[in-house]
Amino acid sequence: MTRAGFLARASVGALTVFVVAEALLGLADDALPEPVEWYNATAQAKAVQMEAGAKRGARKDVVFIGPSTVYRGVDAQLFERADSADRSAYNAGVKGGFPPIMLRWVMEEVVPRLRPRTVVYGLSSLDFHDRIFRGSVEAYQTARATRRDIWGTGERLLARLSRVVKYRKLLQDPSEYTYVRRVLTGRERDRVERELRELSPGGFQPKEPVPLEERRPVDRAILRGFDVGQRGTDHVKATVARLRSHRVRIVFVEMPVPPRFVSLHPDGRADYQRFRRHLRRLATDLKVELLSPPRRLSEGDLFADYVHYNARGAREFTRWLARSLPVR
Amino acid sequence: MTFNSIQYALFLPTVVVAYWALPKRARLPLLLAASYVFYGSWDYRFLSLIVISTASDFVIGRTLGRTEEEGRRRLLMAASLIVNLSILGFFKYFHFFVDSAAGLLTRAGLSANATFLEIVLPVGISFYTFQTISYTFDVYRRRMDPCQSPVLFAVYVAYFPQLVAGPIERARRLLPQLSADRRPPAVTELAGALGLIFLGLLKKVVIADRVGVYVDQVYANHQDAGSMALSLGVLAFAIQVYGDFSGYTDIARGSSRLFSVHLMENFTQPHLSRNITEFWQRWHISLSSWLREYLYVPLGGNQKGRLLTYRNLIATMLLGGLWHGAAWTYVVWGGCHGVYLAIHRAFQGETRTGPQLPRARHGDVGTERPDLPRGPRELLAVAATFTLVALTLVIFRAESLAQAFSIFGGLLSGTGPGPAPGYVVEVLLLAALAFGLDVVARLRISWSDVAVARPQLAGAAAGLCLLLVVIASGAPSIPFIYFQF
Repeated sequence: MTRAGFLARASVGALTVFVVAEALLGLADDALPEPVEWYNATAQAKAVQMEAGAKRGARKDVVFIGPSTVYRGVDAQLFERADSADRSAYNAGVKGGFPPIMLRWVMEEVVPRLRPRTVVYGLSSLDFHDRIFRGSVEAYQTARATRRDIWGTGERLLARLSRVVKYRKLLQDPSEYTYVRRVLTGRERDRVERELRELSPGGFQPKEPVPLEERRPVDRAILRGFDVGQRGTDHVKATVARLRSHRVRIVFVEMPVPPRFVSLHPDGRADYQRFRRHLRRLATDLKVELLSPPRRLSEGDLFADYVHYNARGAREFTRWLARSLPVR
Repeated sequence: MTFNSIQYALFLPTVVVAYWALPKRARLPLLLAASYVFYGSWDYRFLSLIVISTASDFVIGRTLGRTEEEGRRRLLMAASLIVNLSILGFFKYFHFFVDSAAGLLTRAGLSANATFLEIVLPVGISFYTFQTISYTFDVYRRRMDPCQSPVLFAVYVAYFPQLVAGPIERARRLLPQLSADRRPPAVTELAGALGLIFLGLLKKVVIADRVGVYVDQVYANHQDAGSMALSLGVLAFAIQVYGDFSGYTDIARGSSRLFSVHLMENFTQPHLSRNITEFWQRWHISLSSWLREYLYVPLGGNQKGRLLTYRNLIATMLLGGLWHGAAWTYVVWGGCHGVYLAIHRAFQGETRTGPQLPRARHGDVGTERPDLPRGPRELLAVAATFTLVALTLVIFRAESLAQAFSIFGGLLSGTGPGPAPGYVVEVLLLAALAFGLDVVARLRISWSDVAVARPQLAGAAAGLCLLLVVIASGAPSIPFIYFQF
């Protein structure tokens, strides 16, 4: 047999495997949940929501950005009702939206769709704790919708042509199989669809209280090795600079945290005060307005877990924001 | 440009086609240019280091060939060692020695300000340095004639399939192959080469990278992980490092076969070993045989009595550990293996004469395939050896000895949160796949012959590998672990 003959026959065998795999997934295509293209389902649901708003030509006066503390802490619809200046608002905070992600999320997704006049950036010490960024940033950079290299372009193209590529994330993770089974048997809804149903039109979703037993491992791990890091700082600065180049006004808000969260820092209150001084200095250097909430908004019973507001906490914080955010 | 990148998928076929299309006299220069492009894709500045190593050992080798006087020959050998080890020492061990010395002085009550430089570790420096040293050493010992062609020698040092992570080839094995009048691979060879590349991709992308996700999580949060979660992490890292490095070697060997150059086997199912000595005959064979040939034997090997044999084993493995990286974790990991080998030799007694480290007979060491373990006693021995190796790898993977001890403490605690069920299923499935591949490799079947007899079936197997690679890829890319060495 010649080399060409061997390669031709072997290629037929290899191609057959792919054709069979495509055919099998084709049979299940209608029943399978829509793959999450973003780094999490919340981001995807918000992108869909903002896109719908953009098609209606909606422009927001105030957009709140930041990680899950903002996403769970600001009810934009309540803000609109409570605001005496009658400003329109949207909560564009996302889970795991640390500064390196926020820079891209805001400039590539939020600003083009919502064209905000004012962006309110909610920051806590977590946003400067560089060590915890890695997983979320990698997930964002490698997610199909937001991957920016040749692989990302190729994958977005191939996902339209191949079901193997389209459902790759579902196939590669065995824990997804149980989720697929629950979706197929009607016990769970498609993740993105569920997120969209649960999100308020203002991009807010309150957090249910988390039992202490479930919280404990996260609580212990989240602030281990905390330091006010350069990476978070640099990305916050870059976000401010890029927003200004689009003539967007920026306001920082120091996100309230419960006493328990402060105590989770390696050096407790001393670390937290260091973060607060850093934030004040950053706001002064960048000439950005900084809003610091009153102490009563940090009481423990307003929180669902170590740092996220519960529904009551979100209401009180949002009302305070509506009163405190100056009209330009 | 890693082996599992799109760049390499384009680079390799381009070079192979160009290589065989060119007239013979142009092939070596092409291979050299391709190797430098490949290496320069990481950082072109480090090409200068390879050129320095290549030039110095080429000149020293030729001078050694013309020199008979022993004192002068020793000086030349020393010059080669100084050049190579100075480069390696500066780029790899500078901070390690400065920090360790500063630490010692501080403990002694003296103030010490460690000097910090921004030193970036050139990829693969340990591999090509050992390769050039072995050439000069062989010429010095008159085991081979010096290479007369600078281009041929430069290709030997920089040959891209094995440049960044081995196998560490011996000149007396690789130079004759590179200089020979070779023909394009026959169908059987081609089938074998492509089979190795697909197998390597499967091991790297599907097995190593997937279990690596769990390994990263469990090591990052080891203080909160229970003993079951840590045990799974220990198993997962043993599978990851093996899949990663042996996968890399398979791709290297497969790529090289497309140029009709056979690289030595580096792994022959080490996790099926019945004892630690057998393990070291089957794990990273090119390094362990190098250490035996150029360190253990010159130290006296097992020829100077029992105690000195133990000393030599432990010293060799300590340096083998240090070769992996400038950290005490690697030194301790190597030292542990030295102690294991010494203990095994002590219990084995003088009547059983199994070699302590693999003998390098032109790199064909460890390639014989013994029967699969049979009976409960042998299976127990395999399980015990694997457990010992996997536990010792905790020290290898840990960021510090303190972290390693913390993980050992967690393993013994018998409490704490268990791993997520999804991870248990995934790690166990991938471990079964890794062991399954090794068991199949032990069967005395010529896969090249099977592939040629049934090309469609071979294609389907390759297609299945590719399908799994397509499904498994897309997660954050994890660089080959051994590239850092």
